[in-house]
Amino acid sequence: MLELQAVGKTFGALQALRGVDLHLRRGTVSGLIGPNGSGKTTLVNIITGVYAPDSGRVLLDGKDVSRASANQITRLGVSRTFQNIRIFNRMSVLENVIVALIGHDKLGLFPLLGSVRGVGGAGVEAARRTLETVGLLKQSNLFASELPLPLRRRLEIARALVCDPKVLVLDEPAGGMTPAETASISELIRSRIAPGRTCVVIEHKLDLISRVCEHLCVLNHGEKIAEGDPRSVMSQPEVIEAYLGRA
Amino acid sequence: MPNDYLLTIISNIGMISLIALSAYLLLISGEISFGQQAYFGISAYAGAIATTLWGWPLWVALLFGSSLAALAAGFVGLLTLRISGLYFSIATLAFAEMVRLSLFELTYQVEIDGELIGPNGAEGFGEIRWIFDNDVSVLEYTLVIYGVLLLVLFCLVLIERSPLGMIFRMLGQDPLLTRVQGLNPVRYKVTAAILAGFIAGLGGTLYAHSFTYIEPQMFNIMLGVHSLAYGLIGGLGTVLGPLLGVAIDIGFLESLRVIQGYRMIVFGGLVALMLIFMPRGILDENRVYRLKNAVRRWFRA
Repeated sequence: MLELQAVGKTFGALQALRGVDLHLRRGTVSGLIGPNGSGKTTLVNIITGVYAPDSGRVLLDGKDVSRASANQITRLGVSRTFQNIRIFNRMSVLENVIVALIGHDKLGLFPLLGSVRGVGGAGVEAARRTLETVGLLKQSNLFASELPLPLRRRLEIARALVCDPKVLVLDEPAGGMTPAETASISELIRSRIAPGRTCVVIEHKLDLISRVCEHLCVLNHGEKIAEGDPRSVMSQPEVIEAYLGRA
Repeated sequence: MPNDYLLTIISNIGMISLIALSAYLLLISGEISFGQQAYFGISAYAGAIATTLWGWPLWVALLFGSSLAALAAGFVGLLTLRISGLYFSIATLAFAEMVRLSLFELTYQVEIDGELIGPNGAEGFGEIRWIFDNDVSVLEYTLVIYGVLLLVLFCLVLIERSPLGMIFRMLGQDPLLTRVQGLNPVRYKVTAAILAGFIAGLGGTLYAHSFTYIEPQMFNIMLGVHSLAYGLIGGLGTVLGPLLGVAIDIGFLESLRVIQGYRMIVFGGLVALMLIFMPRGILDENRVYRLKNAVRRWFRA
């Protein structure tokens, strides 16, 4: 499905990633954890084409997409959310989901000049269904900027989900949430989003990771230090040391 | 029958609305252009040359001038693809100044009825007599201007309701987020620039034929600044926003003789106040969305 081979990335004197290998298996939810500055977001940005790797390769379904731009990667079926929530604040909740359909040319025969609500009627229905999945249907006519933070996170997920991506990348889906909100979003991901889907979840909250992930990869200082079953990975001394420091 | 002074103000509102709509299209796409006056000027000169020196009908000259303006705008759009924000604004201003200074050097005169007519550098370009030669009254010409304006508004409303309009607004809010929706910003930035250039061009040719005299100085930065301010005052949530801005400035401030001489001070103060209290204008996106919903509810009831 998605494979990273010896991916490296440098920003000036900082080596953000050093030869990271990663293999995402089809239909499984993989977690990516690591302390701040370990290279998680850089890795996500490379997977989604925001950055090109300085070395190594990114393969999607066996095809080298290392040099593909972010818009090309999206069209190939990789969708994402952002650590710092990015939504179109000056659009309605429904429109924030429709935008993804526009990007995928899923609005019918007149993709550019037809009416969004007219020609794209089927698209609007798909957007509504996705909003229902993430529990935002009631808010669909609100302005996006009016949503509280937990619902904004759900809106980002809806936008990433609406085109039924091959790979869904969730960057800190519970960032800034209370324990109750985290539990609620974990349940949403586990029961309604993850089943049958290839997902990468980047998160600091280990309770969310342990609830939703079947596979875990740990980064530290731009290097992969552990990988495998979440329970066994989280009990490894290097992982504990990277997260909590040496005793 | 309205008097000529009133008609002049009304037709002025119509023509300036076109350049305001042009700046608006770029503003909603996230770019602040200080150079839309260049396309207005290019089309004014090209359209006037076409009717006065080549004897073309006005509507052909209008399309010719506007297409030339769109071409120039597309060229600038391509050159400025890799820059945005302040750098884009400076680049557009630099291009507009280059156009204005080039017009000072433009001399292209043809002898018509024993008289040399055509652009003559700093002395400008007079005798743009298409209106008089074709017995078009001020009222009829005002109707032509408003016909063109209505057509542009109609097209812009269609665009705003379409995915293309949505893409422009996406670009205006977050170019990276637009990219990760699978859209190539380059294509849409250039499309917005070309459309905006064409719309400014329509205003330019109409302006030259309304005033019958043009000179390079008419297309200076003040015209560009005003065209931006109209959208920022009237609002960026609907195509009617810039029109409201023009109506407030030309229809109200310029017509109020009490504040003549202080107009620019009042206008400048108004822009400053708007930027502080309503940064996206009177008819901003949120207000327009609420208004639309209220109207929909009212119709359903």
